[in-house]
Amino acid sequence: MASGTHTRNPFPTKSHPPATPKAVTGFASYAEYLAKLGRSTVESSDHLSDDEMWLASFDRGGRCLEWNYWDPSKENSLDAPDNLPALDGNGVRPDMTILSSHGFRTVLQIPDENVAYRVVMVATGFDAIAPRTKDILGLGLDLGPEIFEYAQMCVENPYIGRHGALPRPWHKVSPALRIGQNALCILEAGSETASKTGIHNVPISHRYVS
Amino acid sequence: MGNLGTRVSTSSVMYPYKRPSQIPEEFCNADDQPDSYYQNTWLVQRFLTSGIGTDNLFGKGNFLYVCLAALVELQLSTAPLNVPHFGMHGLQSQVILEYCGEWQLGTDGPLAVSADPSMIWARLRKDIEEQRTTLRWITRFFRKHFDHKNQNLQEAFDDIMERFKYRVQDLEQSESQLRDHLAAEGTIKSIQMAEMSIRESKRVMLCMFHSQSSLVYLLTALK
Repeated sequence: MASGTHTRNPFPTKSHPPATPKAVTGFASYAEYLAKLGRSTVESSDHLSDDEMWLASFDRGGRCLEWNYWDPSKENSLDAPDNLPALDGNGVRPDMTILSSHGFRTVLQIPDENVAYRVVMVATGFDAIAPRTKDILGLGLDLGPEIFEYAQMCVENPYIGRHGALPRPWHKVSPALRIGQNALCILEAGSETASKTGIHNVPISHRYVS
Repeated sequence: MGNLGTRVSTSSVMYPYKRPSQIPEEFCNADDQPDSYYQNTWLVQRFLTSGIGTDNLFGKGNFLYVCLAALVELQLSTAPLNVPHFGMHGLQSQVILEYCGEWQLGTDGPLAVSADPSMIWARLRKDIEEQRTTLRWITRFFRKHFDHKNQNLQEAFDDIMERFKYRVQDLEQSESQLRDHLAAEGTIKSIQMAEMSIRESKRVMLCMFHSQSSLVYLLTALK
């Protein structure tokens, strides 16, 4: 996603891959990261969000190695983050590890040689993807803003215009595919990501259709 | 007769019972029962971990096909809620929604959810357009990210695409039926309006005849 020469731009580029995918860890937020890249910034207010994320890691043979889960509503109650017992009956598997936002982002950033494929599922509770979700995914996977714009288009209520919103992205050039109310994006393993990663967007707000 | 060999159908090893389905399931352990709020997420999780996309089946590098399959299967298993139900009672101002599981409370008990046909048509048309767009772009997405020369993978993709196309065709059929319904409704309204205007013009003519007669009488009286 980054552009420019290696000397002027400290971020990963196709022609000059970095030694590790930790190039974006120095930023506190995705908005700050985008501002540094000269891209359009996302809103930085940390409002209440209903977003949730699941991360599944698989080995080369397709065997599931582990599940991780992040829920912002449990963020403040995580005294000893990254290792709390999983909950029952709410989409959290018994073998899941609940992570803090920092923990989830770190897991995305740190390469694991045993992991060949990863799948991130994002469920958005409100019509907008929360800034904190963008922080975690954007910084963790070094994502471009167009992916969020595209995912946003899938979950927004088309009858309610966003105040001050830019025109909707022309999704046909997006790297993501919309299927019903969900979107799928596949990132190739490379300089930006430690392993090939698929991202789902499964909006909670569309689970019930009125 | 020669041995034709056993053809391994990809769809038969696709764990169809683990495909996302909106049909409620019985769980031995109550704790395993997902909250309905998380139903779709849970269905996708199960699909991902059921081994459908393992390298043994689809070859190296094609594991993430399971993500594409999961979302398409989820879409196929979700009832299209903007499909109208047409009964045997002729044209009605409100149409009942075929797959809407909810009921609204009526004076004589629960009634199926009904809505204005033109509104349902607009929603249905939007659904169809969105699914047509997905159909147009999904093959490109598939070819870009997966090894389409892998026969097993291509067969699995063809199977899922065929079902997706049938779904779109079903929706198109419903949309066409609804369009005919709206056109028939429009024709009936036009006929009613025409009849009303004929009646009105007859009434006007009658009034004119009476006034002319009165005028003749008046003139006669004046003479």
